[in-house]
Amino acid sequence: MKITLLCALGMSTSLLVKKMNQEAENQSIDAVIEAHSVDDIEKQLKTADVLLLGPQIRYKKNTLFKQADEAGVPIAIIDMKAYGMLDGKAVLEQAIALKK
Amino acid sequence: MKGFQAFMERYFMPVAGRLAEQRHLKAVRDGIIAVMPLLIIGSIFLIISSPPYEPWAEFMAPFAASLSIPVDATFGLLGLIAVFSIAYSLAKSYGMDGLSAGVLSTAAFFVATPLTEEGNIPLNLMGSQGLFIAILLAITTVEIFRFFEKRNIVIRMPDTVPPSVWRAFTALIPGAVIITLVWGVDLLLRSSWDLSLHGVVGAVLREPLEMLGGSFWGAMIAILLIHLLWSFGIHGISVVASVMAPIWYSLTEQNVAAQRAGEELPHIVGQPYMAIWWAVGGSGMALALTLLFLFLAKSKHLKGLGRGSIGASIFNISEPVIFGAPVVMNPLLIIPFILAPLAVGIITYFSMSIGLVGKPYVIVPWTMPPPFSGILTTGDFRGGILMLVNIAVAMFIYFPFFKLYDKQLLKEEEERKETAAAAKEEEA
Repeated sequence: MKITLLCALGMSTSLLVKKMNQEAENQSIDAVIEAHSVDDIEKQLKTADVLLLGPQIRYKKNTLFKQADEAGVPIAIIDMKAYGMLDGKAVLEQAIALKK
Repeated sequence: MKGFQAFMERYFMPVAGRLAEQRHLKAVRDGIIAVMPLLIIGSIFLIISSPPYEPWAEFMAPFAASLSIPVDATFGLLGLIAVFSIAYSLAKSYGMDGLSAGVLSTAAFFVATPLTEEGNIPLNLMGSQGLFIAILLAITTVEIFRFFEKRNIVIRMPDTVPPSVWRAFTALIPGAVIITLVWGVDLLLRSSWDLSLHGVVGAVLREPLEMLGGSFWGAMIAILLIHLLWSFGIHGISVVASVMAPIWYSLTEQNVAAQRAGEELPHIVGQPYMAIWWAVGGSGMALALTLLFLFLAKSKHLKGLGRGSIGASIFNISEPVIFGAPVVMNPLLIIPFILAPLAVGIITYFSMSIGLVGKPYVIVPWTMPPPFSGILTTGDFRGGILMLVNIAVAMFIYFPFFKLYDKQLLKEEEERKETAAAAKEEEA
């Protein structure tokens, strides 16, 4: 499955992606995890199975959730605490739970 | 605090969201971001041609003229490239043909630009001086284009004609109207009042906006707003820059022009001041807080966070600290989080205005670590020293709040350990 993380520029989420990849490897979960800028959402919706938003762009929630809904891709905002602590495990769990 | 948060989420967040998603503002922002790589490349040539070290500068002096060519072709074309890229982005957002819109608005831009007496294109109107009229013309062009397309007033071609051909014809009628309109307005202004579109837009739009955005108080209000937004976990700079970015870039380009002419730089506030100077380690001077966590924290949480986020913090990424500490919705840390960048903003402004440190005119990527960002943006080694002083001041402001919070966390951690130990004992 492909998990795509979006934030303002895809910079701070890329830190989290690194941790999530480690975690996925540890649990031998087959996942492709990427970070991108939120401005790329249209392109990302085409390939992503799950979309996660950095909490700092949740003010754009209305438009982004609508776009994801139309594309049929589950979307959620990353828990602030997990985001700050770069808790790859918690965010990976959030993504997997979202997919189900 | 909970009630306040609910209030903010309910009433304020949608406003920020609408502002950031507003189609025209977004197109202007995207259009200007497209110019960003050019500005950074131009900055590299600018630093080489007028380096911050005197003997080196003397050595480079004979090459200054030829080194100015790439600077002219990057910084100097801010307005010209923006008119194309803004029209392109806006047209794309409507699902229209971006290329036609870009081409048309570029032509409209030249219609509005008075030539020099020798009949040349004036370079000075292609840069930041032309930025605001570029924004105006790009938006007008696309809206007129859209008006015609929506009402189907375009030349249609049979299906057998390839798309690249009919696309050119689609733009014909709206294009002719746009060019005629801009030409007519410019002619009217010129013949009746001896004014040009460039002059009018400059006086009515550019100068007042730059005066507000470039002033000390304008900068302080922007910094305050950015950090208030971050305090609720919203990407403050994204929201504020969606309105202010054109003004900041324009101010900086004027500094570039002055630097190259060997004149005194007119502005302190501009893109580097806003993206670099009060944002060492990211918004809120977060590097200062990260350093406190790393070296002085006693609680496991903050110590661990300091270790985990110092790498990001050096490159001015502050999200781990802002969400991890957290600063967000944490009254204890919000206070210094707002005060520290304001204090740094004030110190920086006054150090530059009394000439202790050179004014910033070079644009560097925002991930440039301190104190190099301080040296490079100002082209002045003292800029690096000021940046280190700023970090120390920010640490001083954060310190008492950090201490209180650390103590509070430490107590919680110990209590948790005790309850865990007690539970274990009971089990046994």
